[in-house]
Amino acid sequence: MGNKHKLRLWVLLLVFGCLPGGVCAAEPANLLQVQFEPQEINLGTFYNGTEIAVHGLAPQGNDIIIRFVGDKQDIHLNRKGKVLGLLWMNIGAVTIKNTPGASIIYSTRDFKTMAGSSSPAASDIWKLGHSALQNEIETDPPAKNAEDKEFLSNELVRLKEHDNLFAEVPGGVTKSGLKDGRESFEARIQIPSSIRPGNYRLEAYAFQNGKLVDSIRRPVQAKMTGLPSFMFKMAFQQALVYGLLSTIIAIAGGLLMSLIFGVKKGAH
Amino acid sequence: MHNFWYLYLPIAGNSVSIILILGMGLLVGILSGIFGVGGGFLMTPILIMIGIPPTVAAASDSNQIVGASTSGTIAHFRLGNVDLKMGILLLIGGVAGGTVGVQIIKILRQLGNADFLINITYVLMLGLIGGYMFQESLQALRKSKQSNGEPAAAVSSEKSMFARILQKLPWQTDFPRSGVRLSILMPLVLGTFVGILAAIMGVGGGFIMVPVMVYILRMPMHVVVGTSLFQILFTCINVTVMQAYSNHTVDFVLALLLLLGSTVGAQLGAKISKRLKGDQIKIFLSILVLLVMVKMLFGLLLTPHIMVSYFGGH
Repeated sequence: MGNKHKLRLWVLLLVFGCLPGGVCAAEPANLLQVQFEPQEINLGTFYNGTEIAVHGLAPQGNDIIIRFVGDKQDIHLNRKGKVLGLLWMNIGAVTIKNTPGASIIYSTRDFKTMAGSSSPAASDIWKLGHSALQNEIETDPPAKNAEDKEFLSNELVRLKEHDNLFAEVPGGVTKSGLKDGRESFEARIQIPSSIRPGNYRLEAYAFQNGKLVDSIRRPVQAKMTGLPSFMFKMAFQQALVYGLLSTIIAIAGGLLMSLIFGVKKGAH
Repeated sequence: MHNFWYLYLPIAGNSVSIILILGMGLLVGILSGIFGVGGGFLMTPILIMIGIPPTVAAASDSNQIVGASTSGTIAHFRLGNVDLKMGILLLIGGVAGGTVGVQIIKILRQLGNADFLINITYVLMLGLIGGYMFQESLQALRKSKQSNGEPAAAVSSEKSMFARILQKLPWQTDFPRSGVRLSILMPLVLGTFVGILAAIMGVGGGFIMVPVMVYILRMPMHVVVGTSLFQILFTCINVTVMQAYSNHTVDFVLALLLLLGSTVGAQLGAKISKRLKGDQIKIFLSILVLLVMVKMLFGLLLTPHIMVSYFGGH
């Protein structure tokens, strides 16, 4: 095999190894292996949240972080504040840019323990947690100062946690013995019912004493199927017909119920 | 996880318990049938609480009210409780007022103090209406117990004061179903006033319209309930179509579940309403209005758990 062909083979390995379904071959020795099911989330008629079962192998003694994250988006919020020193209400709007649509983080231990003595700046671990969100987001209008940005970031996390779209679950990844000289691990990631259709990623990271050893990223798509998909398309593509039909069916429902009750009344 | 007790709502982007939504629909339908209100001021906050975005909650509730008020209007029409003439005049005023109200809100939002004014208007209106209605109906109930069936004495002296002013207005006409003679300007102007307030507060306005019909137009309580439902039906048809067309915020799956409960509830409510005295209906409605006011006031006074909220949902 000539050098040209060798190079072509390496490029192919690099490209295809990182594609959906494949372990990223860019990492030298595939230290981390991950499988998960389902690989697609179908938002059908009876969808009420789902669970992604993850299992894999990692070098012995590593800490594992598994993240389910959504594409970045802008989120429009109201800020609350006191008016007349007494009444709490919305006092202004703020747009937070670069917010992940979902960020569900499962790990073997809590971030502080995993990072050990390394400072937030020194360890990559901290970049994966919600405390790092303040460095990624941008606000419009701009935050008054660093404290204000941190405050907004923390409140955004709390709001998203309330919807179950953000979560940090230390201990959510459990180890279950040795296999082929590596430790096997598993996690059951709870995906909430409030997930929006769109592109997400399942990411797995292995850390040794706060230092990144290996990582894997795989795409996960959430899409509407069946009746919800039909209704959603109709509401946006045939808005007037959808509105009129919704009204007509509601009136018909009211008439039907009057008829049923009217007949009952007559029968007595 | 597919659970047949839950349904996924495509526009709201969340799933809901079928039993919970049917139950909520039934309860609000009963209240609607008894009191002649749409129930949006109760239903919308509950929907938001269970994870429905605010704009979708309000628009889908309007869709549901179309079904409940059709059911309720027909039930009350059979009982002879709908004054069509009065209802149509109030409706014309309401549509005009709604249009003006929407413009006022736009200006207020530009000035930057819309939320403050909306909240204050809401609490004051609920407090004033609830408080007045509670006091008046309590007095009337006490008097009717004391004088054993002559409850109208106090009201009629008050009525003569009002009547003198009202009789001077042009275009006097009879409203036989309500048993009153009024200038057609009265329902038009009052309808406009309620329409403006409802648009500012972002509600259907049933709980403002009912006291206006009782205390200013002097209509009998049972006719007020039927006529209010008739009016709400048309207001909510307009809101549903407009919201679906312009904002895509109507979740028909949610509305359908709600109206399965509420159309039955409205029929039951109309039957309950028939058995209650006018003053009893008024005192129950006033308690309901005051409870919502207290809840809102607590919301304003207590420190919020989270210092940000979604801007209009989604």
